[in-house]
Amino acid sequence: MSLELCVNGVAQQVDAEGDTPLLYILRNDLELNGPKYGCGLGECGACTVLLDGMPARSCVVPASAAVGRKVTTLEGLGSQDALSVVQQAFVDAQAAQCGYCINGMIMTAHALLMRNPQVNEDDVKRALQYNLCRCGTHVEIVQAVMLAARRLRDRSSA
Amino acid sequence: MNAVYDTGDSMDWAAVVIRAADAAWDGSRYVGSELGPVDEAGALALGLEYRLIRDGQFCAVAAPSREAALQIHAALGLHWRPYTPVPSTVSTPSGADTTALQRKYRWRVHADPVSSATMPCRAYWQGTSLTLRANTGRDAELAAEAAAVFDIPLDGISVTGADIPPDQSSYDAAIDAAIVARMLQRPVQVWPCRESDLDTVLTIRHAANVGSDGRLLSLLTQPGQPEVLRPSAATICTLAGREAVRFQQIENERRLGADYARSQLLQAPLSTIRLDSALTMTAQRAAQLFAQESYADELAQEAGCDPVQWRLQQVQDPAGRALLEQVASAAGWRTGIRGGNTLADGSETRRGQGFACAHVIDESRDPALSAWAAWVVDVSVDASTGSVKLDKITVGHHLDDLLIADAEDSRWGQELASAAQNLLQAGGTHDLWLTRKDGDQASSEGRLRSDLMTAGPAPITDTTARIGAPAALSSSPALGLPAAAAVANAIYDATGIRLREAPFGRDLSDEVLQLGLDGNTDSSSRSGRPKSQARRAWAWALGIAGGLAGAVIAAVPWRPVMAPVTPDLSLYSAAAIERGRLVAAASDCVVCHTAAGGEKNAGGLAMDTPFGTIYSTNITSDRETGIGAWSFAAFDRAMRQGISRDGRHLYPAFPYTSFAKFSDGDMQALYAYLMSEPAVAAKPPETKLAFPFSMRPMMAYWNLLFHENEPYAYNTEQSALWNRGAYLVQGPGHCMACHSPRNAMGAEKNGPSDFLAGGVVDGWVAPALNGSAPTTVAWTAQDTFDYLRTGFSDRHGVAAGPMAPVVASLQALPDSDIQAMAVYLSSLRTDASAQSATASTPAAEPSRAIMPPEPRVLSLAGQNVYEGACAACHDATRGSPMFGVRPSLPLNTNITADEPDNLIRIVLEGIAQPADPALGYMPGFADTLNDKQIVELASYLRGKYAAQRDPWNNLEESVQRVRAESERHASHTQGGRP
Repeated sequence: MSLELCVNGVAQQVDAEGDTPLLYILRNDLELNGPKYGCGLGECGACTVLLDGMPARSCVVPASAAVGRKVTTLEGLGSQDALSVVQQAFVDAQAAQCGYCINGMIMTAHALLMRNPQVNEDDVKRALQYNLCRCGTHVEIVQAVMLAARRLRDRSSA
Repeated sequence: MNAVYDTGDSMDWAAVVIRAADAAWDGSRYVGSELGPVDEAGALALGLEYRLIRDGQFCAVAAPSREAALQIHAALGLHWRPYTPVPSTVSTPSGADTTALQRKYRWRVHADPVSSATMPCRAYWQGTSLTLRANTGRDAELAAEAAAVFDIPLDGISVTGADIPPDQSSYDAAIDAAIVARMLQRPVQVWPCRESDLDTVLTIRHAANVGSDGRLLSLLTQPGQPEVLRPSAATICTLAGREAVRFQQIENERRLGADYARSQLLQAPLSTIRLDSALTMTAQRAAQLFAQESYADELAQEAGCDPVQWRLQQVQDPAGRALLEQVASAAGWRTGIRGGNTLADGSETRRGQGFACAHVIDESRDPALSAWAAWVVDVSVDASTGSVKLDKITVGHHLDDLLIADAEDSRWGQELASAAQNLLQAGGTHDLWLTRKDGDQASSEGRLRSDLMTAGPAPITDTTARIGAPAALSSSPALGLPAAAAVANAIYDATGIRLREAPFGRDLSDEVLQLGLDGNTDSSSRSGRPKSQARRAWAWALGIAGGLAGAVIAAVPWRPVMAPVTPDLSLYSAAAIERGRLVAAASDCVVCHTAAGGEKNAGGLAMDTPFGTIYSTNITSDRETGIGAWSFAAFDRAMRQGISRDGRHLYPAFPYTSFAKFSDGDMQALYAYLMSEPAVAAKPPETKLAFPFSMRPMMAYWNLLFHENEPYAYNTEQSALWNRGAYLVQGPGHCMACHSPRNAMGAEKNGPSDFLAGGVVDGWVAPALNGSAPTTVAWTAQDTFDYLRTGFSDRHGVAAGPMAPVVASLQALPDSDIQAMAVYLSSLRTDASAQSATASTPAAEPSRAIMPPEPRVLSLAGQNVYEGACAACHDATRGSPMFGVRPSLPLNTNITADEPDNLIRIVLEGIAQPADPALGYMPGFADTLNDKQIVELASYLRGKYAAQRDPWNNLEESVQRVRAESERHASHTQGGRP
């Protein structure tokens, strides 16, 4: 069957069964490889995308659920030339080791800071609790989010 | 960089406020059970971050998320010191020797326990300035009260609202949030707590001093409750001895009522307002005016005087006198003494005319604003049915200093008419169907439309008598007030029956029907009950006799084949077909009559029963394989008696035992709808049960024994909303089909405690709905509404398994119908949960037995599975909120349930087809967790979150059994519903 999706602001028509995991469609049909396949059970967070601004684990959300909602992937936050504030902060804080989890970290942090940039370190740790990182760059990741939060606040107060 | 985020600004926390169920206000202070020491052992054991806040009788739990706050609240041990009310001495009004004509009037404020709009109130402090977000419709009062409570300047407070209807309980929640936010020094959200399910009855007594010449000297009024708007519940709870009553005069400065003689207001006897009552100032005024204007009519009657003339004798204000005269003449007022004049008339329809007026002086304005309103209502009462029809309403209105505005605006006329009609919510409207409109949820429309829904024939409204009609009539405090008294006076005029309790729904039909009976007219509607009992006794007798005789087959009544027909759809209007669509949605036809991946209603879904597999039939309008050749009579017989068109008996997996409750109108509409739907040629597999169940004629005995073919009988003891809910639950909704236990013959048990006492369907446990199911927190009407409307209650869990498609099907119904079901189901619970020790609402029980959780060794392996597989989505305090809902496991009914089946099933299968995609999805773990891991997980969750319950026994066996069941079901249905 044919599904109408809106991904990163662009209307897309894909031919797939409604119960296909959204992740497969994003990666295989739309060639958006920001979201990663990790556990396939919504446990690790590597596949996180935003559905109407809320983080969603795209490996356990069927494509039919994305119909009529705005899908945002890592590619939709910023562009190669103009990274989003959170993406730039992750680069500046050198938060990636192998980088496999970083998609989920950035997407979850982005959603957190869009709701409220007034966060402290505990809030960040709490929000990222269930995004798994095997390399152990947690310290840098939290620093990156705090940096992004500060930049967002500075920007809004400037 | 570190200093930047340390500003004290932080994420919102959520708070849950704890109040005694009997918390009340007596006009100056808190009355009710008092909270003693709080046992935090259970809450601490959860290992969650929280704060407990106490100040006087104010107590709240705050935590990073609402789910966490609810969990902690449920785990707290609360000791209440019960409050024994001082027996109030009800004194009758006195004051003169010549007190005459003492009368008592009652006004019932219906509890509105459920609301579709849920939006937290938020409070946020910056130094001494406070920002409140709350929809109270009373921003100025809220700010004034906050200023007084916190002793801060008024200009430091800003109140904002969102675009949802204002709400009384939001007012309380706003101050709650402000108190907690100040203590925590961070923004705090509090969800408004809905009013209790109990109606509030206002009682007002009147007496008069009448001179020896029959002239009215003074009018005595004694209200039954404090006559002021109460401050917020938090203020009352924290006051505790501090200087009190400085908030209460806010609306008190308005005077009410037409100035008859020297009115004298007596002190209310010692009485209180419950903090959770739905009482508003508007209701109090309506009650007061209803009493006074009814009483005025009674005095006029006593004095042998025309009611309008009597009022004109009393009223001095020239503006008022002019209005009264003008309205009476515009309405074609029949001058004369009222009441009884048409009683002797033998005709079926009796007509009457009633008058009432209101005068409100709002002294809070400068200069004081004087508003007059006068109503004349013409009614006709059908003596045989007791139904009251509003024929004409004439409303006049006078406001000082306002210019004449557009008198053509018919909107107000409509609204006034529907307000009046709404007072007459008499019986018999349980089968009225409304289409769900866009934005029904979270809007006021539901309530507005429910006003209109009972409006039978549209009343004619005549508002030509307006004098100085203001630009915005709604802003007038007087306009709608006389409605109830005018209707009551008109009914008195028509029938001689004086209704002293309003709104009239409850007793109107009874009293007026009584009239009908006395007038020896047709009384068929009254004899429903005895007839059904007689029939039942007869059924039993025959059933037993048949069994004894042994001549089973011979005794079976032969059921004829009904001739095939071609239905004439032109007989049915579009409105009937639309009504049928709603009936079908409420009846979940499509859920059972559609196979996985199959065409809608084409049948073929396999249902596992203890007697074998039953396949649903094709109910599309196809002539060969569907029901396209069925006449209405055949359809009606199938629905009510379980007999197919060809005379074969249907198995009661088809819930004709419930559908027999349908009204005729609904049956016709459903037939019209199904016949108008496209025909699908599809022959479902044939149902073949093992002997003896393969003998379909045997069902005749089953029917004699277990089936009562009676349409729903309206219960006049209960509200229209309750009846609507009962009809939906027992009839179309056929809730009992799954939620009532069945006997060995597959019939719903009919013992007194069996009704909706829980059953099993397709291997899923359908929990008891009568309050006997063990839960962490008891279900409220609001919880039921949330669950049925959205598929999710944050206090209980999510609709899954066979319940998900039911909720999806109910989406077609308006909020008012879901409210009705919630109200009805709650009424079943109140009885049962009183006996059930396991079900307890902390806030609903003044004294709650504390069960300290016994130290129990939790499975570490289970915890590991939980942390790895479940916590990312189910942890209430850590992790990011995600798309979909986050069901709280500590509050989940499947973890407190007697059997682990549903928990295991959901872990295995996940939720691939939620009731609504917005609820989110859950992956199934059948292929990734082995039996041992699921056993460990279930045992961990039970031990951690249902410590008050015994551990489940034989978990290994249960997991194996449920896994086998799940696999078998999957092979039947090949992947869930369509």
